[in-house]
Amino acid sequence: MAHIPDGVLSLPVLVGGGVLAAGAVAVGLKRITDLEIPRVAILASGFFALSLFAVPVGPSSVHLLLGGLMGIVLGPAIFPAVFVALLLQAVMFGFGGLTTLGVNVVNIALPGAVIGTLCAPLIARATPKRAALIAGLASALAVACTGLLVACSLALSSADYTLSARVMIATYIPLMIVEGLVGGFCISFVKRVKPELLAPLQSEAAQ
Amino acid sequence: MAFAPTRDDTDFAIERLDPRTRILGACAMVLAAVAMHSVSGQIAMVAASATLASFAALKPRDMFHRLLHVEGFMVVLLVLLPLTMEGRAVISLGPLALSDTGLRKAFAIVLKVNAAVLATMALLATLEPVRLGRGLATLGLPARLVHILLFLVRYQTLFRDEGARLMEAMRARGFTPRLNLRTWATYGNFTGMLLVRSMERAERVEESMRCRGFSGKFPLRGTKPFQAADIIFAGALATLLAALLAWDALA
Repeated sequence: MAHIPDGVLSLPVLVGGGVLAAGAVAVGLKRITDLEIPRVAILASGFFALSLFAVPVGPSSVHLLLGGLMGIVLGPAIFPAVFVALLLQAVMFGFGGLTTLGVNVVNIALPGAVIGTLCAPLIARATPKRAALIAGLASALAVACTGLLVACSLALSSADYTLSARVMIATYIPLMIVEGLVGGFCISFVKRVKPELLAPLQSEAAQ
Repeated sequence: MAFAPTRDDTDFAIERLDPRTRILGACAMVLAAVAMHSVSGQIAMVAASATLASFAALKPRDMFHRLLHVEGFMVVLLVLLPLTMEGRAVISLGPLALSDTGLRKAFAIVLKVNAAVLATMALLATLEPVRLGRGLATLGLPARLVHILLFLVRYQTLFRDEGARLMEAMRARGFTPRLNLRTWATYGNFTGMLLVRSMERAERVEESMRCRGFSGKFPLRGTKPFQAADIIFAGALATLLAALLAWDALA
């Protein structure tokens, strides 16, 4: 459950997450120009649609978080993209919440932003095989960090949640493996079919 | 385009309210639901939200399904709290014991989460996304975020359909998901393909927008002024929430 609902977290955690998310979204918006808004938004729509497809894992299935891939493709624009996506999910589907919007944005987008920004230049230069390896590791790491952040949000909210938070981290392990594999194969595909997608957004803006 | 499963009849009281009233009302209700300390206050908030939801153009069955889905998200927490929190054991199953404090905490969470989800669904789930965006813009959300929101509403359905088509094509070629690397490789290609299609679509849209002189701004039409219904609703909701919060403080 990367989408923490309303009514679970304590006020200081909610406010902290909200402030952090507001700052990050503002920074993310500053890094793109007005003319880039359609491209960022349409790519974000693609990621949003992808996150709604269930990936089968044996008898069960998981929904991908896509933090790592979004970070690689969108860079800092991941913050406004995730903010808007989570807002829509909370309003339309009832997943996540309004008060927890900030915390959820930080939990999902921050790992992607940091890992993606670090990996994007490496992936842009690498061969498809190496790019796949880097992207796979980045995707898995982003899921692990999101799991840790969700657990921290719970543990910081109330001491009662500490043990539950630890168990919750374990529930992220299958997702981590699947997302790492899918992310790796995805970038290997993109690298062969349309490598321009992996050129950082900023450099395109400079042209 | 509608996300929300709406009833055929759109003539529901809530549908006539201004989007701003609905957004602010939902925020107020969620905040009140989260702030309730007493069990009676939490139950009252669930009742208030459920009553409000019955005035929205939502199908009861769909609403129930969504609530179940939200509960699914929290199963880990709800199962573990009674097992891990210290307190008097109410039920013992061998080495496992459910504590009274843990059960109470889990129950409180269930009530708060459901009250918040019901309130959000009641006021916002049937709000047309374009009106939601416009309402958020008038309430001060940066125009760029509103633009992204409007694009997301428009294109996510398109890419969902595109993805469904790709899946169907995969199945037609004999793909059955199994627990193996090939399955995830296929899903990786699927993800990559959808991203490539998004990028190509983004380029096309960008080009055609520039052709029409897009300079980075859309005109965002303002909303109509508040109507009498908005003022009555806001007044009633404020009175109700104030009364419930006062009751909760005394309980």
